[in-house]
Amino acid sequence: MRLRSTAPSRGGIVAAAALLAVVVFAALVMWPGRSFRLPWNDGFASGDIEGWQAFGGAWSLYQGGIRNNSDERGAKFVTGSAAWSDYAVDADVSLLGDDGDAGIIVRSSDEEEGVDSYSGYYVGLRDSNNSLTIGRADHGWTEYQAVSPRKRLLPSHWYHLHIVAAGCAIAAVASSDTPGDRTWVAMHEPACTRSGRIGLRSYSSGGLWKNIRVTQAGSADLNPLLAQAPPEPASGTLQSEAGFNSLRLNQPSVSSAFTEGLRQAATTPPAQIGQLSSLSAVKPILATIRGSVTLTSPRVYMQDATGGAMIEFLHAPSLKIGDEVQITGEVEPSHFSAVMHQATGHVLWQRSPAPPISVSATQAAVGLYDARFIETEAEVDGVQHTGNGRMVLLLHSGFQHFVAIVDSLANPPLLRDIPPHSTVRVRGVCVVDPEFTGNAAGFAILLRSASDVHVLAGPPWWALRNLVAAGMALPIAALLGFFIYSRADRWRMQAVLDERLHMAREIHDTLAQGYAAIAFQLESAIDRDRYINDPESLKLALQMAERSRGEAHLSIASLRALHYDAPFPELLRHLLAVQIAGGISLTIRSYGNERRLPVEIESNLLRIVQECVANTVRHAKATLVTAELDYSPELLSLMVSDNGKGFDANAAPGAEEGHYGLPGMRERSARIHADFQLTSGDAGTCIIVRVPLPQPRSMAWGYTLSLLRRTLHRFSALRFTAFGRSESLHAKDNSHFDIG
Amino acid sequence: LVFVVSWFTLRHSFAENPSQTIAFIAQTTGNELWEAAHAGAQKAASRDGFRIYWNAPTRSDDVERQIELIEAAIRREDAGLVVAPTQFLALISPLRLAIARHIPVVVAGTSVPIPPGNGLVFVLNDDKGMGQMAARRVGALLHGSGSVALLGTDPDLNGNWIRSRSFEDTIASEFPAISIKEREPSSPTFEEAAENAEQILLRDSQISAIVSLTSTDSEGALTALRLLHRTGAVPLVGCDQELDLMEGIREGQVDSVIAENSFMIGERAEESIAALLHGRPTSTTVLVPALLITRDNIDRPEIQRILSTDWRGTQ
Repeated sequence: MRLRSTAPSRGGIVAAAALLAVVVFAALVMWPGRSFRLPWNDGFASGDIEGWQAFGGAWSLYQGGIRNNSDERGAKFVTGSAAWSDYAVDADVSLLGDDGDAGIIVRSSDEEEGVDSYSGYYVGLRDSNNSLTIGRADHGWTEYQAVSPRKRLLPSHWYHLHIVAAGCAIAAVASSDTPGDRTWVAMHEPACTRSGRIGLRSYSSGGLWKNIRVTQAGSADLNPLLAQAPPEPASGTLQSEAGFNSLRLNQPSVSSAFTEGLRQAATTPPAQIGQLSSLSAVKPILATIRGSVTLTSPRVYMQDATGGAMIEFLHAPSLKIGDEVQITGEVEPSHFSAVMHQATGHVLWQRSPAPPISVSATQAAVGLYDARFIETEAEVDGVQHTGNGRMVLLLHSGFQHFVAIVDSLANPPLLRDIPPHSTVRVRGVCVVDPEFTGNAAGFAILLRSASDVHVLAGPPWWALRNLVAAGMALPIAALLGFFIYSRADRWRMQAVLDERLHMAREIHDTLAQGYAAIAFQLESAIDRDRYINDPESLKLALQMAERSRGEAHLSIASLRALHYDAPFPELLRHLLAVQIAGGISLTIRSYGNERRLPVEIESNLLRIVQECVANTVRHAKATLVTAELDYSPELLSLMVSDNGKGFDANAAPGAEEGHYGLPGMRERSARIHADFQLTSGDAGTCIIVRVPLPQPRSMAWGYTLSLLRRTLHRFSALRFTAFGRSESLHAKDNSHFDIG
Repeated sequence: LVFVVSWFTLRHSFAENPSQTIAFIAQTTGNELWEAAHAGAQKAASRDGFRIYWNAPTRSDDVERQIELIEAAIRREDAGLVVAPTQFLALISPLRLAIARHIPVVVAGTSVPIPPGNGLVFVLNDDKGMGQMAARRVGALLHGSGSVALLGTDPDLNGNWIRSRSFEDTIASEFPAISIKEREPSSPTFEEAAENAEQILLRDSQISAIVSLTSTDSEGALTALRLLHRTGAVPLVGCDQELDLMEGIREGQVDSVIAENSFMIGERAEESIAALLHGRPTSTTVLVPALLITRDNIDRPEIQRILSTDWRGTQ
């Protein structure tokens, strides 16, 4: 029978197809969407912010760069590859406010919203204490150095940061457009983070970044910076009271704008914003209000504890979300809020933006929260681009339909990629102005940036996208299933063939040889004239037939015994109990770590013992048969002895005389690489078989395979029975093998 | 099916063992008060073989964000949860959910209205003692008579409410000649606090001392006193540590600050979680005494420890 073919097998083709499908599927799922090979440049100037991820803040494209227009503490904007290790980052950075910091994170990972909620190294320009600072963040901040520049850091000025991370050292230099104005910092961390992305980060002040470039770097780039940086202070000192005081650097505790704000507040107390809508609309009324900025684009909104208002400035100051401002202007009351025209004013101080008010869509639709910063949950119906450069998210919650609008400069792909029917939470300023609602909805939400949309749950399972994904995954799963089934089928067929081979060998060793000998004896008993002329040969043939029947019986018993899940000594006892005649007692002993052995070994040992015991029963006139098994890690010793009359082992007849007992035992021993010894004398006969055992690992594998094959064997028998096949491959069904 | 099962098995095998992580969700981060608690928890966690996950809202009044962080810790099935509440009532449901999921919970700093026990431990600042301490300090400064402005009352936090009640009760019982003439609620920023304090000082020239119950309001009051050039003339007794106030103490502009021993709160909180996880007996309520910081004791190690933002817990 031909078992193997040189042509590609069906299983091989299926395996290759399945592997290819898995690779294609994995590639589609894990495709990063953007290459992060070094050198790498930002695409801000061309309006591309794909690949960036926001953690807090209000990020949008601005004059060829990216701006965080929020005073939030620790807002981050992250990109790059987690595999970037030794690299240099160059960037132009500008602070927007006067009491915070802005800078670059290197080797960033594990980012979350929060002040220091990331793992990485940060180099920042801090105008609150006029320093270039460097440190380590790991969901907590450890400052390593803070060095004051020669020239005071100012908001709205560009500074160039050059940072090198190589090995476990990080160093940076900050420079301004003033010649010679350079400040160096450096740190070394013994157990450092060796790779990670880059990020932009600001704390309280907001910031503006542009011309970001990441390149490969090494010690040659690092050493010049290390040479210029001052020595590191002792660990933890910068975060003590003494360290804090050393960095205070005679900063005024309050700004002049703040002092002015206090002075004005003392003389002209501001009006409450919530009261403006109830003022007379007959003639313009001049009013002063104070509140925090909630939105800067496409319109400016501010709010206090009582309500919100839209502000139209005469000359708009530079504003960030969270700024506390004092505004004077003409009030135009409307249904639910007011608009301040011809407004003038200034920033009093910066503060982290207030959290939104959580409302339902219906509450927002009644107008009570007009011009206020809110958040609500809804289901996405779709995304639209409008002609005026805005992106619109179509939403509904229950029967309330509304829109969320974001400026196109602040729409990273996040918003575009939100699948319809997702559940989202949106934060922004609620407006009821028909310019935004188009009178098609009760209200609209003006988002500060696309990161104001948080996807709470993806679309339900029956959404088109999921169905398409399932449509792609199912063929792959089917291919894999078919591959596994085909492999299992192959194993099963192999098990069947092995079993057939085993049985063929048994038949050859017992029945076939017996029949051949019988035929030989009969041939010699009958002459050419077809007359019987040798009765002795006929007797001999009869004996051989009897012996062959016995051999067949033993083979069947041995094959059946191997299917029992019992220890080998137990199998032996079970097998010999039916073989041993009355008047002979049987003792079986076992030593060492008793365990099942590969089928090949067990089968041959059983047959050796059977042959030995058969001889004892026939010839030895013994009253006692003892079988001893001694298990050691490498060897199994089997000793079978009797107390019979013994025989002359050297003069024992061989196969050539028609006696196959002893040669058969030797042959079976050789088949399992065992050492066979026979001694016989007046005290009885003894055989010793020493079988080298497979090592535990290969034995476990062999046993597993054996178990698998047995299982498959049984499975195939069941399957064949189920399908009405007449073939049966094991000896459980006595009717097929009962030759007794 | 084999592919999916293998994927999840491998993911599970390689995932960090979540049972060793204790989530500490503070009111906010990046300030002296809470980074000292971070350090205390970190020190105890290093000793007990746990890892601290540390995060908090960027503003101490952002209840929504704090609830998000608590829910994330529950989803991650962290070994334990320490929460310093930003609000008295809003955290009841998320904390009860954590307890129902058999996650040991410690409420740190200020309490919530859930009875402790059954997996919930309170490690609280001794706000009653703090109020008494402030009253007795003012009583001694004013020699038993005068007018006081009480700033920074905040009904959102139970600890603050206990603090103010305790202060008023002690003043009434021990210093009946001292009257509390002004009461001002807590301000979200020091600038607003400064404005409020300035208006009080301008409105009532008879104010002979200011007691402020939060660090923000204390800082605001100090700024107002500086702008009006009345530092020293109107003694300021503040609450909760803040480095700008320490400078005021050193310069004699602030009489004293009654500080929470947040380092010890963090340490005890982690120890309570470890005890609950290991089945060791632990008190259901631990009260951590406050520390009075004056010019005389500011340099003592236990004071300096709660003024550091070095969270690594190596002190």
